[in-house]
Amino acid sequence: MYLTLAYRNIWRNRRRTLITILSITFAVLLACIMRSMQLGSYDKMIENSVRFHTGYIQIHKKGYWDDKVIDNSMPMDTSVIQSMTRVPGVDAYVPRLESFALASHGTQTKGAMVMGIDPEREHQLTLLKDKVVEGRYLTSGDEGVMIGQGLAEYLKIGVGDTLVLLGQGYHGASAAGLYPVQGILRFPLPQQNDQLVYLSLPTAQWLYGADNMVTTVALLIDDPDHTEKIVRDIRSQIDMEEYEVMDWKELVPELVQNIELDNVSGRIMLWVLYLVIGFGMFGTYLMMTAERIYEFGVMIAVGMRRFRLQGLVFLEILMMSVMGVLAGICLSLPVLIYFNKNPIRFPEEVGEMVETFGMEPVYAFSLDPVIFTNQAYAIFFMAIILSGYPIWKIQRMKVVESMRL
Amino acid sequence: MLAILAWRNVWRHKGRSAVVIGAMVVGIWSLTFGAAFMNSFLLSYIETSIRHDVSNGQIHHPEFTKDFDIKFTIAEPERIVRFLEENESVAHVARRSIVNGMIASSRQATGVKIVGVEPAEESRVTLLDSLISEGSYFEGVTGHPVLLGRRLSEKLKVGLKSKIVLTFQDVEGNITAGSFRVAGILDASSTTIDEGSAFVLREDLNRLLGIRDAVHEIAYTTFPGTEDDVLASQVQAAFPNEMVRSWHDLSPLLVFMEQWMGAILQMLIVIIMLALAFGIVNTMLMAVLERVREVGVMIALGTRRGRVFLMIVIETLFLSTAGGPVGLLAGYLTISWLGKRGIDLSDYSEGLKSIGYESVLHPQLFPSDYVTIVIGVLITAILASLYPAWKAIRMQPVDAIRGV
Repeated sequence: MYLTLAYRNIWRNRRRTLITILSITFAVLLACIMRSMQLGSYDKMIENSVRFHTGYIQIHKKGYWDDKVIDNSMPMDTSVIQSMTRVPGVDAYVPRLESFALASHGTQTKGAMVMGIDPEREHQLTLLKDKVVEGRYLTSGDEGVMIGQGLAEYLKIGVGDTLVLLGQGYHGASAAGLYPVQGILRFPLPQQNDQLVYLSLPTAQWLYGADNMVTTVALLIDDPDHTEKIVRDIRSQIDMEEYEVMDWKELVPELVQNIELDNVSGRIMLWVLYLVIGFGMFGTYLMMTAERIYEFGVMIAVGMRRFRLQGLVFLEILMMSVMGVLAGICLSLPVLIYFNKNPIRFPEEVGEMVETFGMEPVYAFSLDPVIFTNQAYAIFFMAIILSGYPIWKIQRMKVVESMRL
Repeated sequence: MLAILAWRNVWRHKGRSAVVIGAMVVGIWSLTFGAAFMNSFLLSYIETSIRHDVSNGQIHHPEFTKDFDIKFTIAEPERIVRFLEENESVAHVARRSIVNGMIASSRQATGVKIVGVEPAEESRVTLLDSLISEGSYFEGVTGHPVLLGRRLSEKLKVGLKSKIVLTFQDVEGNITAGSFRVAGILDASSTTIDEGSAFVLREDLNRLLGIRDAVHEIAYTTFPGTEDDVLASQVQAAFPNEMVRSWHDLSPLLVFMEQWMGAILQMLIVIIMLALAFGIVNTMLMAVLERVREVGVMIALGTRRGRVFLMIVIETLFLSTAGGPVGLLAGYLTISWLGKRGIDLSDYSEGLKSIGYESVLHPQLFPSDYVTIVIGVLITAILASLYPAWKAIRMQPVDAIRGV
């Protein structure tokens, strides 16, 4: 009975109801856009530093991450590799032999990060081929090196020149070799650009006297959101006494920290938005109550109990909120999908600066379903809390005065 | 006349007007606060970076900045130091020798930037001594002291008094090595210091390099309020053979962060303004539709539609700008209070320091930000008034008076 009454009530004054519903709809839309943009920018940050550098998951010999020395490398065990790649969600594995060496050319010498890579697999993960600005990309049998542009400039070395690498090899062997520079790579981050030297995996293994050994296996996975599940699956597959499996949160803790920190200010901005939205919604409730005060007076005068009337008004608000929130989600979905596919670009001058640091200068929008549910809950909750005003008003009103209008 | 009419209209329905004005006050207050809070992260990062890392400006031999070849030393360091010390805006000056090389413990070796410093100067310019968390500032060891960042020391697996070997090329191009003892461990938020640098005495480094009393880098700090770019170009003009750069040029990453955060903040402000506008439109629309009969009568009596339109726009502007100054003032007071007191986030985020922030933040807004917000609010208010006003004049007087 009350349901029917409430339903008829809200459609009695179509204009007023529409304005109320619209204010809730718009609130959901704005909250979704804001949150989607914040989460989207985090996704971009993660993609930039994880996707193009460490990969989402890495496997090492147990203890390597705490003590990154070549003695903590592991043999490329085919059975282990197989059991990893069999885990659903793992698209490919990318082996690396990473170590440190002094790189020199002529009279210049500098410390460098040496990476022994499988060129084709490495490209699948980090799109390394696109970083080549001079010379050509390595192939798996090559005995040359590719080096970062900053390092090349420092060493005054060009394509075709010979680079000397000097370091410490596996189990104390000395590692030294001469390699022709085959390609120059440009990285947006200075610490990569000024430090990295790439060799093909067999060449690096030979240099360090670490036959068939790797320090790191990075995994290419189908969807970043599956990271946790895949890590769990791999841990159950391989001997955890011997290996360590790490996800990107452990690999780049600074990034996680940075995002958490940014999220603090992001949340504060979200609360600012709620506050503003809340006032807007409160305005419409206030108007609604004022317009209907005569009607409420009559209802009570003819014998309706106040709490029943309050229940009725609450039901009305509940209905409008549900409609508003649903409409809000229906509206946000296409808007966010559109911006996700066609991101808005930064203003020109800012964009250039951002681009030199390897970030795409766009406002990225996330489509994480959590956005919709969380914002819908938040706004719905707010709409219900604000219904306290008309309910309070009904409790307090004086029947005679309200009908004297 | 129109304005008076609009003003009276505002006060006809006090509750409704109070809500709109309240929304503006709270909206603007929270907007200024939110913006200042976001700003504080950025400023904290930049300040930490300037304070402990790049300083306000640096001077090098122009070639040295390209390839760090140690033979490119500053021609007349003493004259430059004297010039800087006589300048009123310059607070402190420090001289350094720098070489890239390798640092090795018995367990590990890695690339490192070796910085030879004058302890007294360095403690004034980069407050290097304040970062010491273990051991002491270049003291307490026999032999040549070295200071390492916490992460570098962990990487090398060395502790206080451990011996390390620094290897690099001297001025003749020969590989030389020197052994040093760890005198202190530094806890720094900057990753350059934390894992990429080793600090030694300048005299020790110069002797190994064979460059006598030469200087590679002069860093200086300035007093607050100094235009660092202007100062840098003044110094540059006085010493045309050297290369003088302010922190803007020294650390493009800082400028990048400034721009990136700025772009995000702008977008957030636009979204909040939209929400504000929607609140105004909603309330005004209701107010107009409530007065259908009244507006109908006005039009029927001969008031021109243009004037009715203007009346409603003015009414909206009154409503929305009444709250503005109050909100701005509240925002200003909150920010100045918190700016002085600081917000301590150390409980919230333990690793704050590890990524280059101080754990106490000082929210701050620049005068230009206030101006942006005021202009934004005005534009929002005007735009928000257009639709209700347009809705009002579209009514047919006859229908309107008859009641909808």
